[in-house]
Amino acid sequence: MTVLTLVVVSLLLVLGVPISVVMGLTTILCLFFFTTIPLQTLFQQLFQGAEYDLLQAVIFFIASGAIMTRGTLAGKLIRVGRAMVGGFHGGLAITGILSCMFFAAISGSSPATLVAIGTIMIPALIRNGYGERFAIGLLTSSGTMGILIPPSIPMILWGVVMGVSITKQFMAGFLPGILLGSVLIAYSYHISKRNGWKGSDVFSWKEFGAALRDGIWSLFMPVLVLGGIYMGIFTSTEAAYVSFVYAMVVELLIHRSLKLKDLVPIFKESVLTSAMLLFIIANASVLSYYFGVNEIPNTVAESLTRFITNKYVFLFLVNVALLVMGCLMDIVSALFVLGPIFQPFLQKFGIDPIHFGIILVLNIEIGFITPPFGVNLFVSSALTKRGIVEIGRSVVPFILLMISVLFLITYIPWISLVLTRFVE
Amino acid sequence: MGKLARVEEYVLSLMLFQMGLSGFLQVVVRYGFSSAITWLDELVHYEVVMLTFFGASLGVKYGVHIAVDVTKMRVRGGGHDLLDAASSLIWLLYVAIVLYFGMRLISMMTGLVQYTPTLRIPKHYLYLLVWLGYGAIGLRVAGQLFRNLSKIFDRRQRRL
Repeated sequence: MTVLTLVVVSLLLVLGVPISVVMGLTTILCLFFFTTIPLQTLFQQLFQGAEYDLLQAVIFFIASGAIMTRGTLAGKLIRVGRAMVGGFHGGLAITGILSCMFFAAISGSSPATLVAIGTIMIPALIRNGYGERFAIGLLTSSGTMGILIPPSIPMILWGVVMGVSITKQFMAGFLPGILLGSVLIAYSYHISKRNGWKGSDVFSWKEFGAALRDGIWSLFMPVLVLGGIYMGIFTSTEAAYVSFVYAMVVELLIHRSLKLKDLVPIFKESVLTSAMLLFIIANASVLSYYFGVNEIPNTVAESLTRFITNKYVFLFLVNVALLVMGCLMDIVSALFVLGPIFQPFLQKFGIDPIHFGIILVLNIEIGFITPPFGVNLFVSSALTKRGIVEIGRSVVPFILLMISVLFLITYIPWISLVLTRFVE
Repeated sequence: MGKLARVEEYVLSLMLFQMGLSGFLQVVVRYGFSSAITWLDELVHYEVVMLTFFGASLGVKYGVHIAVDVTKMRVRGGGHDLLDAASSLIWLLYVAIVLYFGMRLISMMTGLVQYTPTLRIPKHYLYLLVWLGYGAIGLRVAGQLFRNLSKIFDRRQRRL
């Protein structure tokens, strides 16, 4: 039965059928052939899958990200970063990384972070004498931090699948995000020093003050959104609404970078992105219903635990499998199938699902930049008008750095979990 | 058809805007007045459902649905169209099954009317919303299949 299902799933995937349809159709076939459950329940599940409360958070973090990407928020962040570190060796590169980290703290998406910061930073780096391959590789990779530093859309989805607290899951992303950012900064400093790439900016308190004043509304956003969540002022869903309205007010009324009519294409784009994700979720909820009824995850776990007896081996194998998977497909949509399958293992080996969520998110990040299907590669290719192969080559050193960070985070759970103790 | 799609885009975009403002209003009301507008909360829930399925239909038009493209990248020209046609056929099969069983569920439910908690909407109307969304997806996919098949057919004719 399992083999037959796997064959059908692989066949459908190879044919290029959308992942959501593969999930839905496979469930229908399984329900029909292997159970006596009436197929009408499928329809009820589809409805319930789309009605889930936290999905509103997904929609509005996507929408606020889209508004900020089109507005001037990112440019103002970059100005602050440049005023701070622009004069050092690799100062402009470090500005790029810091801006990505900061933008990541207001947006929950990696491609959005890449578009917002990369559009400005890649040409700026090249203009200032940095190597082109380095500049493209750095920003394409730094952009992925959008989902590691909270808020994060995949983390919300992981919370939905595993029933873990989103607030804690968000908190767990902070230190790993800072660690990854620091590793990228150290590498950029090293490469820039070796090549003599140094910024022409000279630090001045006057420019720093002016940049701060200009960027105050951008800088206040993570304080409001993340601070609000951690102080218990609002839930993550409410935070998404606040961030949506805040982004609109700042860009429309304060920065005046957008007009009302500019919102229409932004909303349309947000509708399309959210609907694509939500449609996968609705179909995935049907599949996990089938999984639950037939206790499939337990069966899979039982048969696999004969071979995997150790927590460390399990984590190693998961990382290898996810890295390979990340090259071929989008892991975000696979979360819904993987979550229930991983759950029995997490229980057996005593792995905290929040820690595991961070491991998954890092794998998704690496998947964003691994050829041939990494989303950020395509975004970067569109931004820089360079071919995918060239972009793929530029990210290689960064992929290696990220994989080493992944293994650190996998085997030292403390990095992810230490801060979660401070939130309810 | 093009005009209808334009209307659909505007309606969904406007709905997103209204949902965003409603959600924000809830935060203000909850924080400022320790209260909640329950009917609005319920409405937004159903709008998410609408956005999911009607948005998915719009997504077919813009090709946003994620698929594994390994095979597609390897074949060119005619093979590409054939793959697309096969994929659309499978989509249609899936939509047809959902529509059939959805209609059975809805007609079963019309006999025993259940209402939603605050807005008092009969539950089967909401299911009908999902059903219509799937209908819209089906229409779009059918259109795509038709275009693909006519491309394949044209190529055949040219070759003859």
